Amino acid sequence: MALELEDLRFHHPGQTRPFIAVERLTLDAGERVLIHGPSGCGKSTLLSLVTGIRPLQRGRIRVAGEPFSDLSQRRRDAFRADHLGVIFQAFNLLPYLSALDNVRLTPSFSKRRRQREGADTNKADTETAALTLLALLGLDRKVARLPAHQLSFGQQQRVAAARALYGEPELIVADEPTSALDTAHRDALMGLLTEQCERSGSALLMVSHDPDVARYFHRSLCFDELNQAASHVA
Amino acid sequence: MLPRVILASLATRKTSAALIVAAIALSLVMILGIERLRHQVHANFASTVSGMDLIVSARGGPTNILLYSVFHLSEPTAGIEWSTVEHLAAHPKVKWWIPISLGDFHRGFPVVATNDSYLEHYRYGRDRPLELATGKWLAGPDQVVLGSDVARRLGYGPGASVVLAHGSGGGPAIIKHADHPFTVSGVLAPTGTPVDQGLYISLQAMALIHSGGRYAYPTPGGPAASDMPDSVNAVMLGLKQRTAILGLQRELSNYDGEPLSAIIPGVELQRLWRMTANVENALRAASVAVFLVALLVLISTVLAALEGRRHELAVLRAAGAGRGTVYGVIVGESLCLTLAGCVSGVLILFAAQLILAPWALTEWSLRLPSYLLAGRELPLVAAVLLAGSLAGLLPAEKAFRNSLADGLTPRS
Repeated sequence: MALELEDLRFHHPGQTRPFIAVERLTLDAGERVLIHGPSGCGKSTLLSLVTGIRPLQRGRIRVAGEPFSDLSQRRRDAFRADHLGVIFQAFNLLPYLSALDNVRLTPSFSKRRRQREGADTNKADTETAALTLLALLGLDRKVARLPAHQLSFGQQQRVAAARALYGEPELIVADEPTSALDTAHRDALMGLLTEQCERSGSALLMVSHDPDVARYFHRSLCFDELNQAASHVA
Repeated sequence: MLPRVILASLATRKTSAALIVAAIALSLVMILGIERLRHQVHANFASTVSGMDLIVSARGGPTNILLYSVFHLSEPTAGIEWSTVEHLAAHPKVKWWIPISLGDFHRGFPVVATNDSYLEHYRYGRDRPLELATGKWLAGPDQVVLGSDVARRLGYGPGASVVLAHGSGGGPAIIKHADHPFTVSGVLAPTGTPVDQGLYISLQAMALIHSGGRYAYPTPGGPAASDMPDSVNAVMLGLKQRTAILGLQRELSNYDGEPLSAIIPGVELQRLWRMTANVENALRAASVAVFLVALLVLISTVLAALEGRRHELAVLRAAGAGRGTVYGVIVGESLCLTLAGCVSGVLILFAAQLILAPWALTEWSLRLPSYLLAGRELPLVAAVLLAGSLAGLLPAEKAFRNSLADGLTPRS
């Protein structure tokens, strides 16, 4: 199992009714699941909880079989570095670093991810692995050396995908990565992303308001059905 | 990777970074500058009296005796009898003696009447004797030797004619000894002590210009007894053995001939510094306050920048950065800024020292330090660096809390 999520509740501070209430959500290893739903309904908040960036208020999350939500904040951050890849909707990159260095953030935080790319020891190895990944995502060496703020939006999202994929994490979490792309660029990114997830064996949990991307996924869930808090409101 | 992130991120905020660095640099200039000035003044004063063991004067306040006799910063006490001077000169514990008589001025510079032993025995700094830069030492009662500052400021050289005045150095001269002009026989080499600001004449000359009579040139074969002054203001003593200082001091304060005070210059200097310690501490407190303001500037600027850096920190968090890394980035940035401030401050101070050195020497007879950074200053600089780094803790915690609240969707 890449992800097991049980009995998850999230309240906004000062509110009694839960904003998110999910009984159960599981992803098998290598499984790609899309959660679709309108903007602002709490999809991103769910992903913040799954990635452990926001502290969980109630519930249990296991990632790659580990009781992720039971870990301390510090161990959870380290675990995320080792086992999770994250792609944002936008602003994925540190604008002042090169595309290559943005990808190399991942190995700089995780020894496990370095080892899984066979780049255990030195800087040159992590660089080679990062360049290989960028090339697989259609970004050549010249682009890799450019500062991130000079890249097109589509290129930036591919760099973000490369960073998430580096070191073959068990789970990649993507928050509307295609929402600012036109159809052609969206399909290009989704094609590359699913291809590389297959290659690395990573499960992909993605949220999107765009139902057209469902064809890249094994399963597609409606957020309002998943989130019982929403159905209570309705 | 972390240092690169810190530096590259700072480079996108050059203006505010430069302002913080400037604030810290200037506060460090103030902190170090005040310390160095204090240290240098102490060293200069200590250097001035380094060679003498006792100063004997008519009974009076020890600090006053020290200030008037050596530093010309106070009014002389009444004189001591020449017979007392002869008693001191003949004392078995005394190795050398320098009589000085004060009270006259030339255009604000004090006139010191003394004898040949001044040139021979006066020591400053680390046992350095006086030397003549040009000309010769006094050879008669119509001659004057100038301190280096006097010669430079007034543009006098050997052969120039000088008229002395009786009266305060500050105010207008009351009586001019216009009928007794002196001829400059030589100029002393610079010492960085009040010696540079004196004019030196013989005791006989002092006696003669105040006797109201005509010059009575010393008869060949040595000065006649009548040419000697009735009294002098003070006598500087060097002893054969330094261990005898306290004993002689006690002995002289019980001297039968007249009431005397014998002071140990080094001890009196320490007493003087204890008196001025409050002022020094006030200056220190002011410089620390300036540094604290600089730290507040640092904290508020780094804090204010966090709003614009929410995406940056979200990216780092998503890539696996925990609290330690977030702290590392923000505290590291504060450390970088403080370090740059310290380096700039030290360089600015060094440049200021080089530029102001000639001016400080002529205006205040103060030798400015010529070093970049002294070993004794390292703890101070380390404390500044530590404080600057600690100043990053508050923004660091705020940044981490922001990232927890933002999750995957940082506010723009």
